[in-house]
Amino acid sequence: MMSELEDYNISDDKLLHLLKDPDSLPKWMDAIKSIEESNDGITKKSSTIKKSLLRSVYLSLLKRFPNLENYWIRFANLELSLGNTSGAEIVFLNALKMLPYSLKIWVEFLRLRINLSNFEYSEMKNLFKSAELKIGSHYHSSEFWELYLDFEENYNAVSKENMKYEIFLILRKVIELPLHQYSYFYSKFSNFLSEEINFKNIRAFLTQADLAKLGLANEEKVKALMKAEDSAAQLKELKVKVKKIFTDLYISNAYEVFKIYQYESKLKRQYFHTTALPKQELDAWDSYLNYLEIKLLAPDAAFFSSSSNSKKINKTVIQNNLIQRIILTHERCLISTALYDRFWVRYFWFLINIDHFADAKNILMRASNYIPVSVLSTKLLLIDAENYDGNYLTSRDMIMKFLAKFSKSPSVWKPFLDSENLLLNSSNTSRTGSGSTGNESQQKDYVLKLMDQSLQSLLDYKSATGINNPLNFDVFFQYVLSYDNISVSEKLAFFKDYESSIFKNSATYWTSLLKFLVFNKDNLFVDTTTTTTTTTTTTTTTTTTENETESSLKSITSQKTETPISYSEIKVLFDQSYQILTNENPSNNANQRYNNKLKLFHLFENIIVNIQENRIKAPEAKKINGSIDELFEMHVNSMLTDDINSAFW
Amino acid sequence: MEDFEHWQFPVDSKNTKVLLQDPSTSTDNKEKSLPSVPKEYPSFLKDFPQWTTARTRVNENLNNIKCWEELMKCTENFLMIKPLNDNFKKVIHSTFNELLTRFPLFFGYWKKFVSIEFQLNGLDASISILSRSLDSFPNSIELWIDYASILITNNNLNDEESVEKLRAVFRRGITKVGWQFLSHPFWDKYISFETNLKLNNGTYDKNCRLYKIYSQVIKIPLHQYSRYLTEFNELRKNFTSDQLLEIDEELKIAIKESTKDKRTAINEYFASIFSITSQGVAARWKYESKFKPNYFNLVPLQHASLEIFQQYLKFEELNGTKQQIITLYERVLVPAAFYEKFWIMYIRWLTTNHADDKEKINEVYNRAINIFLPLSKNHVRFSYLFYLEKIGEYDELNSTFLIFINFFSQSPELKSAIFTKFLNFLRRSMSYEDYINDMNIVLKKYFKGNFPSSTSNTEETKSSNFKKLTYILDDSLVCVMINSYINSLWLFNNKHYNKSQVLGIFVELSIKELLRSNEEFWVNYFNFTKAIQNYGAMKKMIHLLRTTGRLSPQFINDLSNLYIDYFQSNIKKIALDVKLPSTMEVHKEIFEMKQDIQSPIAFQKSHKLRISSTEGNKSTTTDQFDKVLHRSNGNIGFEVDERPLVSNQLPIYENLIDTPNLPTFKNVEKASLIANQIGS
Repeated sequence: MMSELEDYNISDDKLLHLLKDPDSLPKWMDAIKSIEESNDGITKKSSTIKKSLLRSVYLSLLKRFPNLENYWIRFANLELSLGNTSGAEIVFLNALKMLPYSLKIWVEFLRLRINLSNFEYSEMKNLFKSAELKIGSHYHSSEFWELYLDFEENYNAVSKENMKYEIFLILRKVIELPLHQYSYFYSKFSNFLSEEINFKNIRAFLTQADLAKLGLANEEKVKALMKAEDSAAQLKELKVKVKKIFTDLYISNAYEVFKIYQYESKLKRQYFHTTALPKQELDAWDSYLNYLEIKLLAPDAAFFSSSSNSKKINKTVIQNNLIQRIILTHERCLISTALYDRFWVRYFWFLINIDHFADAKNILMRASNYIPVSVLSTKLLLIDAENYDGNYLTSRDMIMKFLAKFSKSPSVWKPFLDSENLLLNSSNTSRTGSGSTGNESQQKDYVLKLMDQSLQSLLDYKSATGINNPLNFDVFFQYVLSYDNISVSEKLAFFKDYESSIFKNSATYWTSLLKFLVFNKDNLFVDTTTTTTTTTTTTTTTTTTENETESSLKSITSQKTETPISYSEIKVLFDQSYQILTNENPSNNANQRYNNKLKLFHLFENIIVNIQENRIKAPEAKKINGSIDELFEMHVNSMLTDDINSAFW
Repeated sequence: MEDFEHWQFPVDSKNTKVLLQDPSTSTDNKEKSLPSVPKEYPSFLKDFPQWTTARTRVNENLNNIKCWEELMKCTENFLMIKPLNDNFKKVIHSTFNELLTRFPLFFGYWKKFVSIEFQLNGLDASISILSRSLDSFPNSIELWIDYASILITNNNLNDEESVEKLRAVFRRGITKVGWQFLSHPFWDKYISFETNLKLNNGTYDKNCRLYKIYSQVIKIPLHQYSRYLTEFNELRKNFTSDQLLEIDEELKIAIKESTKDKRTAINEYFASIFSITSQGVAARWKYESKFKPNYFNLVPLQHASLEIFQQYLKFEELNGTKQQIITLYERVLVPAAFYEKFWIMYIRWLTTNHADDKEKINEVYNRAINIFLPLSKNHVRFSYLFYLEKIGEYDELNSTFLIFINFFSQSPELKSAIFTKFLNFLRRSMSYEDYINDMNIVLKKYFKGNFPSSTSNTEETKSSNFKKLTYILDDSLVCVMINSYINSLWLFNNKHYNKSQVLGIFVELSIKELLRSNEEFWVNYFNFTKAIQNYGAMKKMIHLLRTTGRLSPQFINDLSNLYIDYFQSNIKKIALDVKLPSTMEVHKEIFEMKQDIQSPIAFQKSHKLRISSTEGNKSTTTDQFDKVLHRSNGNIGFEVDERPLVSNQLPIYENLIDTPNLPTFKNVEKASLIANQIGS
């Protein structure tokens, strides 16, 4: 294709640039512009290759960024200028498939159809009707409504009366909508009322019930009035009554317009672009949506009343209108905010809360076309939704797909491990967790095995290439603590296996280990009162020689399966972690080291609460050894660094 | 020090002594209000608006040097009032006292205070102020010189006894400031005092006394060391070699082994002292030349200064004598009195090298803890607690804990932290059974019997410390205590505990009003249910927290997310344990929890329940929700009652094909009101 391009002199490197960077919207725009403007622009006479090139660029652009309303329109106009009217219509129809709530596209589409003037009235009317249901309550929809009114006025093929009646229906509906141009339509309606309605046709514009209220229930009565001498005065009086009612409508609507104006006025960029939106604008969308959603709770909307427990209550028109407006506002919002996962997420939860479960899931699937691949929130939410639905296998497939793509992202591993644990772990239910002993423990827990494999391959990969830093996988040591089907001894062994790996530099590793030891002391610790003497000796030896501390965890685990640990052994672990986290690791900055210290102190103090219990038997015993001295020294020594910029200052 | 203006110092905390007595026996247990913030100024001050304005500004900016300067200027102006009555004298006194209690290192204000006191109340009173200044700022060369001068001028120098007293003052001064690099004015004062004495004990006696002073000063690396050496060499000429050996013990020992003749050996000895001293000066010069500022002020120090101080201290720790090292620390801690790091370095050095000198260690700790370190810097304070425990000073430790708790009466977080440490200490100092028993008695008393019991308890606590606790216990401390108590029942219990009994206690406590707003309690509760793997209990606990907890949404959601993570890891096991029909039920629970957390504000059910329960509303109608929402999210303007509304709205999701009814309304009577509002 590139060589042909050269032939036709569109060898502009704009396309080359684009091919290298297909996520860059400005490059797409440049490419389209350069093709359109090359060789005196594009006309019916342009070469087929150039035309098809341009079409394919448009198609790819709109596939990549379907929210570009203006480019859909531009594309359709291109087809039009090339004489391909059906092509233009197809472009619009495709656009509406992607953006069914796009006001711009609907208006342009309707306009195109009218301009082509080869339509049937009823067919066109239906098109207007479908458009109305989608975008009729759009704050800026006056353009649409005017087009609609014009259409009726100029093309109504039924009768003049019917035209008037259709116009009445349109105006009657539009004056209830909180639109930017609400007063314009109200005055139109008001004119219609004064000029078009008389005793002759009034029965068409009022319902039987309303006629009765106005004393016109009887057809004869109307006829009589018509013939009466003061007929004009009577009509005027009647209209004043009716007008008074519609003034109240006007005021009610004005109130709502006034309310939403404070949000609408802050929405500056209502089109799609890949550049960031200012925070104020994102916040404006948020508060706008909040405003509308909270209206759902108002007594008159009464959607969630605490008295009705049943979820399937009959929604009133007011509720449904609100829901429709909220959906439309979400859709409008997402045209410009499609790159922000939080608006998809809030749309999802809105739909969940009104029990539109399938629609909600659909939103998340749509989201995946827009938000960056690396943003996982919507994808993980979809997995939750599938699980909620009981579609375990679907969710598992999705997780596997993510994992293939994001195997370096630990946050994808948690749902993966959870799902494997649910579906495949055979040891899951057969054991009672911590207390298990005996043969079962020979078979390693499946989840644990998976974690092991993953860490192992990371470490192998690292040693092979030396570039990857697996340290963010230290959260595995947090994860492991939450699986109750993994026995305490297996967990301990897991920590042990990595004690001399790169993870020994991780604060997460050590705090998880210490937490694990503290919370499982029932299963792990000896009753230290019986081993006081050995305890003291271990402390002295271990603090003097470093080699001994190295093997501390090993010695714990090498003893029989559920062997308890003594507090002094914890102290040894603590010392080791302390040294590593505060001194040896140059990758931690001063503040991190400082925070690590505080964290460890806190843990250690908790451990120490009990140590003394077994060392001093009575308060009179003045001689205190060990831990308190250590705590004192920690406080005095540990906070001192040479770094003038340390947090300590 | 960027937040220096807002620091609070120990002096800002309330009177501590009250706390240490049993309130029932103490006659006056009212908290004394601080003198610094009088509510109203006495009437005689009304004619001095400048002073009251300055005073008010100081009250609002207690750490601002400019405000204080203005106030002190105005205060001094009172001296021009003739005659000056006692009221003004009192104000002058209390203002100076307040400044110098807060910032005792302002030697300039001490000097001013002394001279004002001289004008007001005469010589003796001013001397006693000066002597007080030295108690507060014993390392000030200026104040020592002033003190010595005033004593010399006003004492009978022909009286042997007075002279001996003065000599004692000089000797004391030398131990405080004599090793400071720029201490020569004080040494000079000492030397000239001895030189000018008219006491008739003969020239030899005078020379001997001078020799003693000089032989001390020449060994110290001072800025003026070479002058002293020259003067000393002059002085030395008045003595024969034998006389020198007789009066200078050190010299005698030093040259005992020498084979050379006496005079040569003596000369060599002093030459070597000279060389050592001059080397000492040279080595210190690179720090001394950059040692600034060397006075106290209320502005942050430059990094360069901190760097120099730190390097110099390191150098001195390696090369100096104990006296030199202490002197340097004391000097650094004048300009850097608010820098905790130097206090910690000082304490580390003392406790490592002079652990026996408990008096000095205590004295340094006391200054750091009770005067200089702001209440936001507490490493030194915490380390003191461990220090006291380490050296076994339990009585002191007990009262220090109580004092600290009082220091932090304004900071719930620190107050709780200290109290936790206190309980941990008590826990260590007695047996487990006694601890639990005493805790239970105290807590029962606090809740007037309405507290779950875990032990068969007696009426009185075994430990008198626990008895003291009842005097200081308040709602926030009692929460700390409950947490420590309940953790002691399971987490810190060395024996196997009864799971359902402890769970019962958690459940009973969780509905207590007090604990609804206590983060630690809920974390403990969560950890406990996790440790005993009781999923049903955990679910109940989280839902209770979500609907009734009075904590930040952030905290509640964080804990709920931990719960979600944990449940997600154990779905099969939970379904089995809680006897659910299928694992889907667990997923449903997880999903609904997420819905409650992540939904837009309008749909966060438990959040709203929580707020309405906090508002004191038991009612949970939608109407209440909205009012609450309106308040909780101010930018959502929504007036439930006033909104005009078309009650038979046309559906916007359907096409209109028939004539609709005329619109009907709600609240339309308010519509015109609103129309006006919109119109304007």
